[in-house]
Amino acid sequence: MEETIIRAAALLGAGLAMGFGAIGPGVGEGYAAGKACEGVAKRPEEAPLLTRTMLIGQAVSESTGIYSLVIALLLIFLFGG
Amino acid sequence: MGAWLENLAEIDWEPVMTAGRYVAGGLAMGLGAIGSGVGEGHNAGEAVDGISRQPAVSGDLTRTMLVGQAVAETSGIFALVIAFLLMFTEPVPCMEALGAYLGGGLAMGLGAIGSGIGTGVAGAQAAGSISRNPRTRGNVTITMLLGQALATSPAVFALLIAVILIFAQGFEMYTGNDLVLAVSALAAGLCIGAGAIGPGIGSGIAAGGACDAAGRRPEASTSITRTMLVGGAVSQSTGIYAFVIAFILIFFI
Repeated sequence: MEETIIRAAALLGAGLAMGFGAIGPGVGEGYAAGKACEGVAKRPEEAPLLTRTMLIGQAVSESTGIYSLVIALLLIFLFGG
Repeated sequence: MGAWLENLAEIDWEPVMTAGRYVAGGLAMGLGAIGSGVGEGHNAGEAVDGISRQPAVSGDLTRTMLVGQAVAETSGIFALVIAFLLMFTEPVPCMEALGAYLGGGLAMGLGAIGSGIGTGVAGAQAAGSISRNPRTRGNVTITMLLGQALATSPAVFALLIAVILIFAQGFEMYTGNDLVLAVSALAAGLCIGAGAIGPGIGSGIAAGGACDAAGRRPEASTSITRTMLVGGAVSQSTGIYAFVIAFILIFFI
């Protein structure tokens, strides 16, 4: 009986972790992309450098989203399966 | 403590289910209206601001505003469709269906927020851009539409999961009283719903920056569009993770 409740709770936790964990990186990476576009308009000749910097910044901002993904997968397959 | 869990099959789920799917329909439309409302209002505000600066191009600005608002409305219409489906389909009354219907409503309701706001931000920046440099209208409008299409995709993921959750009963899924399955359906809906908020807003901000840039330097618009699409695609990634987790919660539990 407790096992059923624990499994259900683990699955709900997985959904909450990935769902709410996806908000921050999504907004943050989009902000970086928007600023990169404005940068390209100011100095079109520096577009490759701007794109590279944007991608590095986005990769760092992605990290918390990947933590959420790892936690969600652990909750599903370790405690919810 | 677990006595109620053993008696789940003896509960009369008919009235609970009816109440549950009305609540789910209300959540879908109520939450789903937030994004489109904010986004379209932001778009209209910037258009008015632009007209006050350049009254001569008010026709162009109004037209671009209406096109942008029509796209921003899409996610609200998705929510409306899901709310109708939730109100008028008759599921097998059981606990799992209750979870699936609430999950479907939350998926579409929450999932429409980000795309509505994001497409609105793109439209608003496009209006500002056109009022500064009216000759670039064609270029800016194309950039805006491309960016808005990208910003709407998280709402499409949410729509897909909501439709799967609502019609799963037709494929013999969610027809019993297992607490784990009921909660996993609810969790799948929450996962893609909340997970679509960030990518929707983020891609919209990226598209907004691109619209602004396309108006300032039209000759670099190829480079700007490329940067927008690469950056917007990266900002979609967490939405795709949420989609995968929702998929696992539905099909592998």
